[in-house]
Amino acid sequence: MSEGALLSVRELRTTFRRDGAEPLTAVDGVSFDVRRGQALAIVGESGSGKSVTMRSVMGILPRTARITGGQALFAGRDLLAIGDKELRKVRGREIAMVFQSAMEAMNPTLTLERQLTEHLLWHGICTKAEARKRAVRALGDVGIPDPEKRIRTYPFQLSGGMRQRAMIAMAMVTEPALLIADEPTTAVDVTVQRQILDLLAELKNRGTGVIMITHDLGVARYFCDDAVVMYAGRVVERAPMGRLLDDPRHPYSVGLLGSGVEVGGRDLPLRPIPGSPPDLSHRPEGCPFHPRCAQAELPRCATEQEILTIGPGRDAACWKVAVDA
Amino acid sequence: MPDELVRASSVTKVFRTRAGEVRAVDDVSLTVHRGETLGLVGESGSGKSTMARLMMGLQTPTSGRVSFDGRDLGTLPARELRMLRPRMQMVFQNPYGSLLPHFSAIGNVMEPLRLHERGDKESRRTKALELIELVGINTGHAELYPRQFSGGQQQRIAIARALALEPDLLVCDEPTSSLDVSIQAQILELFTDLRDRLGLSFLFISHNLAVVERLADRVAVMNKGRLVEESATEALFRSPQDDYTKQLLSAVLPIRQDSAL
Repeated sequence: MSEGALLSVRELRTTFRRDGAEPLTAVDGVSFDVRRGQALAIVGESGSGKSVTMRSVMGILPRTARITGGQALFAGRDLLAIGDKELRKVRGREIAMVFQSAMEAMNPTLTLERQLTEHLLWHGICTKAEARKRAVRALGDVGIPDPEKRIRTYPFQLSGGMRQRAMIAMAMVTEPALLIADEPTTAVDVTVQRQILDLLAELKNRGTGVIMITHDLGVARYFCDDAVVMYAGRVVERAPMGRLLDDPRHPYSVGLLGSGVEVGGRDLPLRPIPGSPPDLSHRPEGCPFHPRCAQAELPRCATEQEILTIGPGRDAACWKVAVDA
Repeated sequence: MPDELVRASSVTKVFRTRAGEVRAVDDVSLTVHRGETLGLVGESGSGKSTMARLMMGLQTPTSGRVSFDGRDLGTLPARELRMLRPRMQMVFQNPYGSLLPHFSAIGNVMEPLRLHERGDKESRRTKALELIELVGINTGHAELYPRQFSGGQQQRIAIARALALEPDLLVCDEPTSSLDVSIQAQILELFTDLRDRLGLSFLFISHNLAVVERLADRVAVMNKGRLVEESATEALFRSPQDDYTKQLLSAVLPIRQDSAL
């Protein structure tokens, strides 16, 4: 575990049970650190294991899933080993989550007041009157006008952007040490996106560590300090955010950057990665990216995947990457 | 003008809801010329999808006119409208939702040919196979069902189906928004390739400005049902005139340090 890490995940492995077949390995030996007051981006495409990784840490996996190895050290405890009862004391209080769709994450039958005070009351942090005060303050903090009145409304009575803010307020109200945000701005309009990110940055400035799951590299660059890139359940590259985007090293990261379109990049050639990510029930041996990789050399790439340290805070799971002198 | 394919003139669409009247599209005029790609951008609720449906004649405007190849869609008899339909096709955001789940890939592509009574079963098959190959799907997989394909492949099949009747106009409503970045790039290449090879005209709707910048010749910006700006792509991105367009462009978060923004 590195110095000063708030959360340290090591060699996490999560599998899914299947009828009449071998279990499916969705997360395969994932490691990363999150530091206090810093944001880590987990970047990857659908099926890369980003969300399963976070759900494993939070203990909110579906019933068919099982954590078969690894550690998640948070404030001296291994979240994967402490059991559901202890985990409940952490979840919602010290670690909070923000999801892509507030409409799905919030309870449509409860007022904002009930939902915003729930964590405070359940964890016995304060009295009901105090909880209400804090909830109103949190709604005001995220820029919801007239919070005294709005706290009595239901989620569906708010616009999409306002609902996303309310969900962030819900996550902020207990002043968590760690916030996990799963595609928090994917469902909102671009003009609202930056406001939401600036709200989350406020939290970061107060010392909260943030893990942001995203496929949007512009969002990652704007908000995050470090990044891990996931592919087929594994971390393929780890780097400071700007370094990853300006100088990607793993062939998959290079491909992801070459595929991304960006305003002002009309004349840049588009270089899509051929093929599509593997079906995890047929994960290629060795480096899972090798069938799509232009630089793959057989048989080595199809038999082993080696992690190379490239430079300070940087490594890549490819034996062919250039290493800083 | 002969090179106008579809033209909307002062089109307004009002929906009556329980919450009162909603002016989804408010006095908008837009033209797609032959062989041109018109990008239509705006945020959710700006009216861009309603505009697309109006331009396809799928909805009737409350006021204003839409004409396709010089013929007014509002006054055309149903029979003649049906004759025009094959010439305008749509591609949607969610390919799985737009394909028939109980039809194979080739079945999906053949269906419009059958509905419009083109050729016999054998020739429809041949045609569908050609299209499946054209959009980059392995023809050996033609008999598989939509759910057996990835999202990107499903979108390719949906595109093949849209091309089956050899349309002049392809209306694409957020066609890459549900796809992963690496797959989105493949589909964008496919659109560019199709435009060059088949001389198609596109109405390309997206909230993703980078995608529109890459594909469109001209861009129209909508906000709250109104058209706020329309100009050649390069000019719009280089020197936006309208405040709302400026706001949209400044909200874009750059990826690369040396990007133009």
